[in-house]
Amino acid sequence: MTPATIVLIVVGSVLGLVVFIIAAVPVVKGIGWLIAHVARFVYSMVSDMARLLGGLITAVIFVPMILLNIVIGRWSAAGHFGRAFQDEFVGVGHCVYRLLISHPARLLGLSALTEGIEQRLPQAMAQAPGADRPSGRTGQFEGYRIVGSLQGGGSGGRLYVAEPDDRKKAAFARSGRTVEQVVIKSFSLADGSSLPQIIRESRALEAAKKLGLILDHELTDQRFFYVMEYIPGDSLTVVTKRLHSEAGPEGLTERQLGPVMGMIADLLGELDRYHRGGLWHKDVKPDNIIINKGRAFLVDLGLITPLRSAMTLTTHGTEYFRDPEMVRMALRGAKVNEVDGVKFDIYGVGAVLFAVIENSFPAHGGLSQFSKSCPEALRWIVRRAMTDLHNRYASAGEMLADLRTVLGSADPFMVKPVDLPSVRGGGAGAVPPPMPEVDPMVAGVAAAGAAARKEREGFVFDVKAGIGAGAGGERPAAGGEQGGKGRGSRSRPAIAVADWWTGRYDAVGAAPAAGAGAGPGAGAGERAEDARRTPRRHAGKSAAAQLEAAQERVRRAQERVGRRMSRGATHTSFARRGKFSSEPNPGVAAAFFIFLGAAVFGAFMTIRMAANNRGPASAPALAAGEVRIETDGGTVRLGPTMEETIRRGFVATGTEDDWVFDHAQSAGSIQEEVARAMRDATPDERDRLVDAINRFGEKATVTIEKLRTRLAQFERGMPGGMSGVGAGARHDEDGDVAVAAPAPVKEIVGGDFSSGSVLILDMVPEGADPPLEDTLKKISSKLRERWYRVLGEGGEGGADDVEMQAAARRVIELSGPDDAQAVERVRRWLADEPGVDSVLWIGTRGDNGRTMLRLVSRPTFDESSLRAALTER
Amino acid sequence: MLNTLTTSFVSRLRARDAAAWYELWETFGPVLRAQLTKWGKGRIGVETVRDLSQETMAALSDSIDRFDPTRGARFSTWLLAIAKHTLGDEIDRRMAQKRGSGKRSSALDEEWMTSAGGRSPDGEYEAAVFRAKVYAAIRLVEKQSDFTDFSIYRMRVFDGQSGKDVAAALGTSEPTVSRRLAKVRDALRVRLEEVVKTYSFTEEEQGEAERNGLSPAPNKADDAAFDDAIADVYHKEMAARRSDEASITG
Repeated sequence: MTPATIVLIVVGSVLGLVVFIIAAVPVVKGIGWLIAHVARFVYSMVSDMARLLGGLITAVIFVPMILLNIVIGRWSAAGHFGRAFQDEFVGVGHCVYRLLISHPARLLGLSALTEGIEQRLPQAMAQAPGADRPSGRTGQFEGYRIVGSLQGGGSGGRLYVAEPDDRKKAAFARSGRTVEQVVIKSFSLADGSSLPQIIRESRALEAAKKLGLILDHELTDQRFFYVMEYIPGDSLTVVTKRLHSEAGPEGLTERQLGPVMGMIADLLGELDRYHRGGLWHKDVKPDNIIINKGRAFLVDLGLITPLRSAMTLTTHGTEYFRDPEMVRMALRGAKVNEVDGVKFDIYGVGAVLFAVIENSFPAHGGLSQFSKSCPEALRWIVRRAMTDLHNRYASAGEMLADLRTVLGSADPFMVKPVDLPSVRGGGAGAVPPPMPEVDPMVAGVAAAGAAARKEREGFVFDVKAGIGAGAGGERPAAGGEQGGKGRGSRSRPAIAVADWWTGRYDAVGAAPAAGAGAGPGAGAGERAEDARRTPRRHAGKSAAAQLEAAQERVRRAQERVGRRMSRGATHTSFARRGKFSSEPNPGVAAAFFIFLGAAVFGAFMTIRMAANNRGPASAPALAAGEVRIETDGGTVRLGPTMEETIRRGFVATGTEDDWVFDHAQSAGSIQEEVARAMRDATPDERDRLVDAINRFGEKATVTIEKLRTRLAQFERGMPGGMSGVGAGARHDEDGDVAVAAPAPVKEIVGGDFSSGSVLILDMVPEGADPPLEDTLKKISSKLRERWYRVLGEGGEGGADDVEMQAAARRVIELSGPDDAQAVERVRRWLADEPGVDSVLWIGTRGDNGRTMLRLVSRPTFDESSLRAALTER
Repeated sequence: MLNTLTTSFVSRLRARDAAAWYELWETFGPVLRAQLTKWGKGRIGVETVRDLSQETMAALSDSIDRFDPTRGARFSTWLLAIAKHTLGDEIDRRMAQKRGSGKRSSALDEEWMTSAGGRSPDGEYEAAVFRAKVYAAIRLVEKQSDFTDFSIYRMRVFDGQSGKDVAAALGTSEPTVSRRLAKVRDALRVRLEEVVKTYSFTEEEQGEAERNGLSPAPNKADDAAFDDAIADVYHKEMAARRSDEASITG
């Protein structure tokens, strides 16, 4: 071997080893993973099984505790245990789900299958709206008809969707709005709202009024509610999930990015409007953004705060969409006017944009990592919005300018951060975004309202009852602040809001009529300022014409309302009402129903058992040897023998009512069997039997054949026979009589008492040694003990029996049981003879003349138990 | 013996400085949540984990007054022991509630301060605590740096983009990118040293950064290794917090 060969071998070996290791390591890893995977599955199954059992046991223990507490009137304790029961029950449900679906799916690598059930379903359920109607304690909302509800937010308020009545609609129309549906946010002390919540919301309301976001409001000593316009649509959370489910794991497509950026642009525009109005939304998050026809609307006014407020900053907001810096400032006790709320809203927009792109919330603030496909410029915008305060966009407009640059490009992925106005150094000032227009309808109709009121003397709003005053009162307030108080010449009297909660205000230095109408009128003064800045839809129309148009809209709205009312709203009929507690407790209800079910079942079983045992307790004592058959319909006494029974005409204790009339139960077979039994009876007996049959028709429930078998067994005193006086029997579903005898006889249930019919055929010539009589008796006795009907030797006797034996003998002829052909003939005969299942053939062998026993059975008959009985010692 | 930064921080905690507590919560809350989730798997839900991690902070607040630095416990062990106590207490309370009897909170066993003797109870947990410290340092640097500077560092180190791409994206030159990168890196080194010192009770803990390739001493040759280590910690921390997110969202 040359050195080169050795080197080659060594190198080859090393390479081979390396290749082997490279190949083997993944395989070993894979096997290890597989073992660990299966082990995890087994462990999960076992632990969940144990948890399931534990949960069930615990839940069962809770049931009596709940009921006991209900009985003794400890409702709170019952509720407590009810909740505990509910927890256990839910836990059991989860275990069942995991055992049946989740773990097997995971084992098979199909976790994606269960994602919907485990994530989307609970989320949808959690987001389900509450009751469709306010509770009785909360009361109704005058002027509104509740048509549904929305999921409540974290503020504790309840949200109802309602339709304003004609009066309200007219009032809204006077303020320039056509409102079909509204959202009522209600806080009621009776429904669990707290005063701090109410105070916080009321502050927000005060601020929101400035932007005309509130249509109506009311405060009583028990509740507080305000009304906003309802914007139908899905939340941005839902829309985001939908977009990502369409897009796949890579993230939003270029086609989807456009609309998404459009929505964020809407949001920024809306926020800019807030900020210019001096307001800080403070709770910008996807759940608070409603997408309607592709446009984004910011909702939830619960945390709106004036930017210049002197109140102490609170940490309210939503985690991950709230700048942590704001929390730090709040913890330091900063005042609202000491911080820049605008930048905190911008942080929220950045977080929202991140959430839309990533389909996840930005858990790491400005450091959150992008994992989905996204233009670099868009990432830059998100990070710039979420970075530290001093680096952040100074205004929504600045961010909007950057966003519009990306939005306006042919290919967003080609836009670089350097292309953004803020990076180029232009900032918001360089690209001032067009601001959202002031609703022209508001301004126009407000002016029209003022003019019209001038013409219509005596037209007075009902301040307390109507929205008209409320809305009218709000508008001028907003307008007054925006335009500056005292600006412009007013021919109207000054307005002093006496109680903003209720919308009540006083007109200073004017007649009542002017006071009522002063709201819109004063608003018109300031709106005129706006009108010079913004285009108006109604420019050029006279005030009267505009009012006329508004009235026309109201009329149309009324017609629509009328049509809807005539159709009827049915969906509010699902309103749920708690009976005992303001907090429904499904646990108590479940425990109650389980108890009720158990009680009904127990009662049913008790009654049934009592019915079964009724005979021995109530029936008169029987004479020796008598048999009593208890049926649902009454009692039948039979004689100790068939003959005696027939002699008595089947009836011993009374009338036909004693018999069970089981309708249409194999009447033909009963008649047939009775007829067969009648062949054994004397003419006199036969007459009486016929009489009995006639009287009871075809519905006699005791089949004669069964009686014959049972009575025969009884006569021989066999276990299983009717050996005990007072033996119970009951009528089964097939119309037969199921006999239940007392110990030592086991209870018998079911219609067929017989294990089968065995024909014992003694073909041994007479004088055989030893004699077979004793053996045959023992055999027949043993078979009867096992519920076989015995025919032939030691059998019942009678013509049928004799005929059967004769037929069998004819088949066998003179053959011995060792003759295969004879055995086959017997088998064929059995196949055609329904009265016999097996033949126990005792004869002598043809070859050596010794006695032999052979069992031949019908092919369909299972003779294993019969063989066991015969071979048993 | 505690260093000045740690002493100062503990003093702030003792003085019930809300911002200091929030800082502690923000930095180590996710680590506690992950650890509580791991311990209480199958027995406590997401909401309870969140509550418990806050209760751990409350327990820390009670414990901080009795904290004795001379016993030699690690900072991480200190957190862990209290979290464990909080979880155990919660489970005891639940069991007692199920039995229908009241049960007082058990007294916090502070024996660990002596018995632990600077040892770590769980390697995985220790790594998570260290990552949290690095992450806190990154966050501090992000706050103090110029947005463009930090963006360059982020794009270059965290996102793995080349210097050329970063320069093109920002319309600047590669040398400028390098210069700004170095600026952030230097700031990060300083901050990292501060953070590690602040949240370390033992000298062994203070040496953690260096052991993990994050040498606090400026060294040009180590820059790439430092960036790699930072990126590695950052990505691991992101992955860990993503799983934390997943558990929160269910």
